Amino acid sequence: MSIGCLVRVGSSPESYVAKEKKKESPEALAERQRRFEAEALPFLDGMFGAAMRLTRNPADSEDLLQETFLRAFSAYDSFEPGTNLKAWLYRILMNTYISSYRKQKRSPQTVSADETEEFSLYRHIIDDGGTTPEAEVLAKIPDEEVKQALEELPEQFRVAVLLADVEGFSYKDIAEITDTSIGTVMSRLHRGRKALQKALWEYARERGLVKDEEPWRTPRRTAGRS
Amino acid sequence: MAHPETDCRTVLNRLYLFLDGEIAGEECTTIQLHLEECFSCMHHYGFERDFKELVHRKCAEGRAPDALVERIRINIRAVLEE
Repeated sequence: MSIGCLVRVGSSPESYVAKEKKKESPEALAERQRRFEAEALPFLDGMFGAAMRLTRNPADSEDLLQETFLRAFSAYDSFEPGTNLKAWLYRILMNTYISSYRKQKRSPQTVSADETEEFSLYRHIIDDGGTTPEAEVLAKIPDEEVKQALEELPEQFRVAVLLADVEGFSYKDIAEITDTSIGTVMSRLHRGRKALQKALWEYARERGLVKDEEPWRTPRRTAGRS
Repeated sequence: MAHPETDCRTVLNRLYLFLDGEIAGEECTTIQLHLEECFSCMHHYGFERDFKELVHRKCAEGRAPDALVERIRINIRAVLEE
C-alpha cells in the first residue's frame, strides 16, 4: 500500500492562511470572530482527545490545537456554511499535525503487509473456550491501556481508527480529512482495528484476563518482527 | 446452521461496513435479516460492535483544559489586533 499519502500538494492549510492576508474591514473581522467562537470552538473538546492520540502528550497536543485553531480562524471565510464544519476542522488539524509536528519525527512509519496478518480477537476469545464472556474481558482492560494501544498503532491505522471509532466520522469524511480514497480508508480501518485487537489481546493474556492454551505465534507487544 | 456458509461469509466480509453505517438500502436489510436469524454471525457482530463502542468510550478525553480554551481565544483576538 502507498505510504505517506496523508500529505497532498494543494491541500495545505497555508493556502487558506495566505488568503486571509487580504485586507478586511474591522467589522468583518469582528463578525468572523463572533461566528468562529460560537460555531467552531465547541469542537475543541473532541479535538483535544484527537490531538492527544496524535501527539501522545498534553503539551504538544495543546500547541497543535492552538495552531490548528489559528489556521482555522484565518481560513474561516473559505469555509462553506452548511457543509461539515467538524470535518473541515479535523482536516486542518491533520494538516497542521503533518506539517508542524510529525515532521520532527520523520514519520510515518511504513507498514508492511506481513506486519498485520489477519487477526481476529473474536476468534481467539471464542477459541478460548468461551470461559470468559468477551465483553467482560474487554471491560477489564483499563482506559489507559486502550489509549496506549491505539497510540502505538502505525500512524495511518491510528488515524483511521481514531476518526472512525473515537470521533464517529463516515468513511467519506475520513477520506476527505486524510486526503485519500474511501478504499484506502476501509483498508486502514480494517487493519487498524485488527492490530488494536491484537495488542489488547496480548495485554489481556499477559495479565491473565484470558487463558492462554494456544501456542500461536505471538511476539510481545513491543517485539520486532522478522 | 440454517444458512449456507456463503451467506455467512458475505455478511462477515461486510460486517465493518454494516457496523459503521456505510451500507444502505436493500443490502442493509438483507444483512439485518441474516443477523436476526443467524446466531453465529450475530454473536460476531455483537462483539465487533462492543469493541467499537469500547474504543470510543475509552479513548475519549473529556473536556479540553480551560486554560487552552482561553489561550485560543486570546490568539484569535491577537489576529484581530494585527
